[in-house]
Amino acid sequence: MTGKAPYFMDITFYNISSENNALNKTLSNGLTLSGTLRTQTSIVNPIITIEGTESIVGYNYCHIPAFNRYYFIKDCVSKRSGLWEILMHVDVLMSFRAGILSSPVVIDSSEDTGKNTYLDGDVWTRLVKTKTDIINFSNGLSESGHYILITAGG
Amino acid sequence: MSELTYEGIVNAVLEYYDTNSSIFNRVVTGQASQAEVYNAFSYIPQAEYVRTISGATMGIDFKQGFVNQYPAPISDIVGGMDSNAGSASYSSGSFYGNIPGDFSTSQGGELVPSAGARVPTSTPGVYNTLATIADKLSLGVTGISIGAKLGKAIDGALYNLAPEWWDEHLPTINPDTWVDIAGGNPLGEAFIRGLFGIKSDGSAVTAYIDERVLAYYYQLLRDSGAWATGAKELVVDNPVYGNYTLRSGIRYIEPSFIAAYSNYEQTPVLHQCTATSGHFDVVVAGRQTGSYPGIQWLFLSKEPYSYQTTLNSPSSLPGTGNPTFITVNGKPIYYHTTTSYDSNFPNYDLDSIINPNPYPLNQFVTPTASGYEYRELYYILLYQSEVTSQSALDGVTDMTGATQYPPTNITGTTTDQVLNQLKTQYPDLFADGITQGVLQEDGSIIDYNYIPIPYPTDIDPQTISPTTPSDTQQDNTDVDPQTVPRIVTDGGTQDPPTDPPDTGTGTATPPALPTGSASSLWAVYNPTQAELNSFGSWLWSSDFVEQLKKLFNDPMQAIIGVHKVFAAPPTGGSQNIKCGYLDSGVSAAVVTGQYVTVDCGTVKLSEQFGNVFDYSPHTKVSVYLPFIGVVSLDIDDVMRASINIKYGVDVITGACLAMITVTRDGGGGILYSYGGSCAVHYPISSGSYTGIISAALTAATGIIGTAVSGNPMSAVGGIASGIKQAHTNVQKSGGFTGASGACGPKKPYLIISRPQTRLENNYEHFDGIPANYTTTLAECSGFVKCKVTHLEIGGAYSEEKSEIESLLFSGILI
Repeated sequence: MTGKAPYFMDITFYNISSENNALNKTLSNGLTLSGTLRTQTSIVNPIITIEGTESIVGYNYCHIPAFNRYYFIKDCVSKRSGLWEILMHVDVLMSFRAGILSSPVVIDSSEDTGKNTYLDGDVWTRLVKTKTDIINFSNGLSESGHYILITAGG
Repeated sequence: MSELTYEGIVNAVLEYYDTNSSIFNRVVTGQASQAEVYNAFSYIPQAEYVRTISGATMGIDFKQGFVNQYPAPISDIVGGMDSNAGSASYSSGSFYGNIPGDFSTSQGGELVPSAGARVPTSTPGVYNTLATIADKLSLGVTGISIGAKLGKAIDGALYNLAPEWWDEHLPTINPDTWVDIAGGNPLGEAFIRGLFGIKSDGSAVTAYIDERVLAYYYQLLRDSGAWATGAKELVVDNPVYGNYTLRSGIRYIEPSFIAAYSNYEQTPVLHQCTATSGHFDVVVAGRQTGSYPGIQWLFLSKEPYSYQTTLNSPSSLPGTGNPTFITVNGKPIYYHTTTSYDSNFPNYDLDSIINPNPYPLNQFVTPTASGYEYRELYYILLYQSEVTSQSALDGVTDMTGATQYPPTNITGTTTDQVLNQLKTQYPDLFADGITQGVLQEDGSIIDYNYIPIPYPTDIDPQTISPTTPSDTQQDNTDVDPQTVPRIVTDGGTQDPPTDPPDTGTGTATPPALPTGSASSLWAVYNPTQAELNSFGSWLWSSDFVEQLKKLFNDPMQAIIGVHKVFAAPPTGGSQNIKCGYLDSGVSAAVVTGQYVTVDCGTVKLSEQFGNVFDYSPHTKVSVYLPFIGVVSLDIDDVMRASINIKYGVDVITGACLAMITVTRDGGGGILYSYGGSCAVHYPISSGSYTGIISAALTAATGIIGTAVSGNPMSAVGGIASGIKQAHTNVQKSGGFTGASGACGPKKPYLIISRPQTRLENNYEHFDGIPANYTTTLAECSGFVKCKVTHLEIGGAYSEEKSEIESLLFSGILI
């Protein structure tokens, strides 16, 4: 027997409803499967075949600690009874959130931090209609006027 | 926070080097030599080494970018936010320290940087610290300052010799020394480093220069003849005393002189009179005519003296004497006169001595003094004149009442020799000096000793050929803090520009209407309707016509004009309306002033939306002005501002000027002004009626024509190209005459056109609000969209980093 020992690892499946662009996903009620990685696979876009009795239909997210990453489940293909092929794509936000949070950025638009309502942007939508306000000044010129008579001599 | 000691320099290095640099490691572990510390400073963009022409370091200047206060008022300098200040501090990240200006070494050999400069105390080795700012002074400004310190005033005559006299001559005195004391480089212009020391209460600033610079300039002035005695002249401050006026052209003569005349072959002495005790203050000579022609000599002094005369003639004997004493106006006058008769010296050209003043002494004044005492003449010459000493160097004179420092024992040929001789002979020149130890490139420290100098506060420090601005400058070493030169910022690196304050400043000069009552060439009345009717009745009565026939061909010649103006004229009292010389018997108020101001009040234009919608192009504002029309205002000018409208009205012509004053952030002024006419003219003859109608028709045509040219249909065509273009400017009114304006409202009002907005619900969460803000994402929450990122994420593949960037640019939720 040659080669190294098989790569043993855990995969925890979740069903999340967080938005894809959320930095932190809410994870709960995970299903952890343990097994041995037998074939080659990508770290960024892994395709993992799972054989077992547990149904993993209904899970859309998983965590592979051995890869140090979180993944979106893009598709789940049934090969045969009890054999599923899971196609994943790395969730870069969740996987590297610590590094992302510490990175300096220039914010273009924000819900809270650094926002300035006097900066122009596409968010400021308006109708083609306008409204008019009148502000009167308190005084003015004479309403009735004053006669001025100019005669020769003095 | 930490004081800037060696540890402080360590932290300063930390700001500019990462932890892997070798220089940082050496500095941190204490292995860095003083030369390496020098090198570390040279990498700080806001720190500039100022060097002599020869390359030695004469100081470190810290530019305005080095501190976080811009610009720093004098209180901040004293409070510690500027370079070299006594308690100057700055922050850079987590580092806080004092800005070094003076370097020395401790007993253990450790580098000890301190702020500002050292001021000696009475205890040897113990110093106080003086806050200082450095600046580059031109050679000329330094020259007049040193001149003032030495009691010399410099005027423009110096620059007749050479336009850049200082720049031309200074390098030549001692070239090897010059390159060591002047700043600059061999190819550029030289300068003198000036230090300005600030008193702790910020009330005054003292100027200092290197003491070697003083010695160098002294040598130049000495060798150029600034103390060489030239001609003296009598300068008359006030030629009048009592009833007498001193004639012009009187020439001062040296108290003891020996004249040699080529046409007298025997003895070259004409007349000699010397003070054997005391001295003469003024000596003049006059021509004596008559039976005994000769020269009259007048010797004057404010103090007693005795004298000896020598007449070089076998018939005369030498004599001694004491002057006559009198008092004039309470002031003592000692004087004596002698005469050299022509008969004694027939071959002398006596007139050449006293020429161009040929007068006898009694005719020095007008009216001619009589008697043997010429009290008024003596008083003017002694107390209302002064004898000035001209140096051999043009343009250099003694300051009035100033202490002089003649080169009696200052004979050195090198700067060091001159410096030492000056310190020995005139130690007061070096009083109140300060010291700056300057770190050199090789790690050594050179002490520069600075001494106070007077500084011309009203002269640009870069002036090449300045003149002494004040005759009393010598003792004035206190400089107005407001004129202290700032740290120079030309060249070098500064902090990136920051946002200027969001508020404006300044207030425009308010207008002032001309004043003055109505001319006496005409009478102006302000009658009521009833009074005007009464006047009209009188005008057309038979009595008036009969009388007026004798004066005018046409009764209307007596009436210049009748109009109605829509501003109350200033009136004062009532009197009967007069036409020419005729009294109508109708009383009416008299207009006493031509101009009047009507304040229409002030309104505040506030934001409604609190965002971009309050400004252009979304919100527009215009104003209706009575007798002028509707005019547009720039919303960016008037939003958040108080708007005041005043009318200036000429009640005689009806001309009016609407002035719109906009005040915001505590400042403002008249930003808009429009002219018009607020008078309605009434026809008093067929000719005037025709003119009035013609003017009204012209105005009406102008209104229609304007409407056509401003075809609103052109705005419709623009809609397809964008929603903003649909709101093009539309003419809202044309020009008004006084007649048409009278038909309109008399009070102004603002017309504000605002958009109807349709912001999406919860738009902040989905779209965010524009930010343009630099931070880390850890500081953010909710929706964030980035436009610039600097991702340093370990363990992520490049493809993953690209995806992260793409997501940040499109927006993420934190």
